[in-house]
Amino acid sequence: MCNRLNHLHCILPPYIADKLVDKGSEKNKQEALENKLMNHRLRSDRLFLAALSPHQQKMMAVSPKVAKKPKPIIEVYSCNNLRSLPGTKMSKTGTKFRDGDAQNVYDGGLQTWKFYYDLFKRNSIDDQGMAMIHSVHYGKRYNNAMWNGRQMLYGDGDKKVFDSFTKDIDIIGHELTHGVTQFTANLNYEFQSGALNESVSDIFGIMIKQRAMKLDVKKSDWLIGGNVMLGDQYALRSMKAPGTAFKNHPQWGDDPQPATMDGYLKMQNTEEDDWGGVHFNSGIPNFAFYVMAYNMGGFSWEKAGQIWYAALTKELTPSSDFAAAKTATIKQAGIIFGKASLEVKAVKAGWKAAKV
Amino acid sequence: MTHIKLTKTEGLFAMIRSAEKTVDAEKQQVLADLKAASVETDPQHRDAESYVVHVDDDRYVIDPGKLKKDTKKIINGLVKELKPVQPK
Repeated sequence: MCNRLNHLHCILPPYIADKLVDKGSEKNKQEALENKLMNHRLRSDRLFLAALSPHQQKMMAVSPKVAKKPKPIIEVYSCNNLRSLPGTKMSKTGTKFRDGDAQNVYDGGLQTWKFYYDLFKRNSIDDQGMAMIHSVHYGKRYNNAMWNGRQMLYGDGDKKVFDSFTKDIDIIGHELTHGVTQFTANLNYEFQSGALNESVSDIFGIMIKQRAMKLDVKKSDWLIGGNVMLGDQYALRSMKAPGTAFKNHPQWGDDPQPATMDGYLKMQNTEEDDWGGVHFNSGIPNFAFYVMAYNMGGFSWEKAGQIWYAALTKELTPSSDFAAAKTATIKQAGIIFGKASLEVKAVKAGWKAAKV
Repeated sequence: MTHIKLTKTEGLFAMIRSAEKTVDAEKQQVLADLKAASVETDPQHRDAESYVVHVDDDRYVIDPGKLKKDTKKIINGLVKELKPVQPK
């Protein structure tokens, strides 16, 4: 059992709800109590779900609405800059929203659903038709986006360092892929398995962007979060060249991601050390993926994506490390394309470049 | 005198910032305030508003909004001094 499960508690800061319960009007107090109850249920659900095996999670399939025929169910809510989830349901005309952030997450969610269904016949995050619920305008100037185990939520950003977190489809794809990982390999969120968890989200996030924009491996910029981080010269991560996404940033300094194992950061399994550097060391498998996809040529999702999806859903387990991912992707490349194929050579070359 | 180190790690990306200083405040009172402001955090979906505070060997994950006046002033001062940390 992953010891991280012990920490799966906080979705919303409890002090906000506490303040409303203590100091709000009678109506506010009632709403706040209802919110606290909802949050308590969400936390309980996550604890319960996280403790299940991927197969059991599929069986449980927490799906507010399930489509009979495979089709995307995408619901968009506005938190109206509060922290109550899911918020107020936003109306649309056809597929058009008046709110730009709502449109971004609807479009990004649709592209993500199509990516997984068209390519892998995966019906939504849980492969059971789970409704994809997005809540925008979460909190005030909130600098984050996340998959909370049941739904997506997006902050508006502080508009100083970060813009709205709905502005990059790769981030939407990244976060929703955390959901896919949760229902498949369920990689532990610490050390190498955690970095692999992050990397898998980047890998599928970038492929979702590339497919939506019809970019091949040569035309893609291989950047994650290029629009969310303000400033044309900055992005959150570079898969092509980890460690170069930002340099001399006034608040963040230089991008510290390693690209190869000799730069692997041995960090502590604490919050302040990013649970063993999961957002740092993910640069290593990210770079391996870039090299293998580039060597295969064409569109990344056609070959490298097939290999990684098979590895994620058939080979990787919660404790898988980089070496296990290497073994898994080489094995799946051999099964899909043949042991002596160029694809197997490309996968090996990717891991070699990352010195795994 | 109490030595306080504040660390902030952002979700979504690889960025850690830290600041520390020794302040003229009673350690036991600071510890009590920090304990009262402690929150539990989710590693995969860490809260953007939580901070990690070290006071010597004691460690707290806190929500600054829950701090009492004097300690909040100290922590807010450190928040303004956060600088990027390059991990080794």
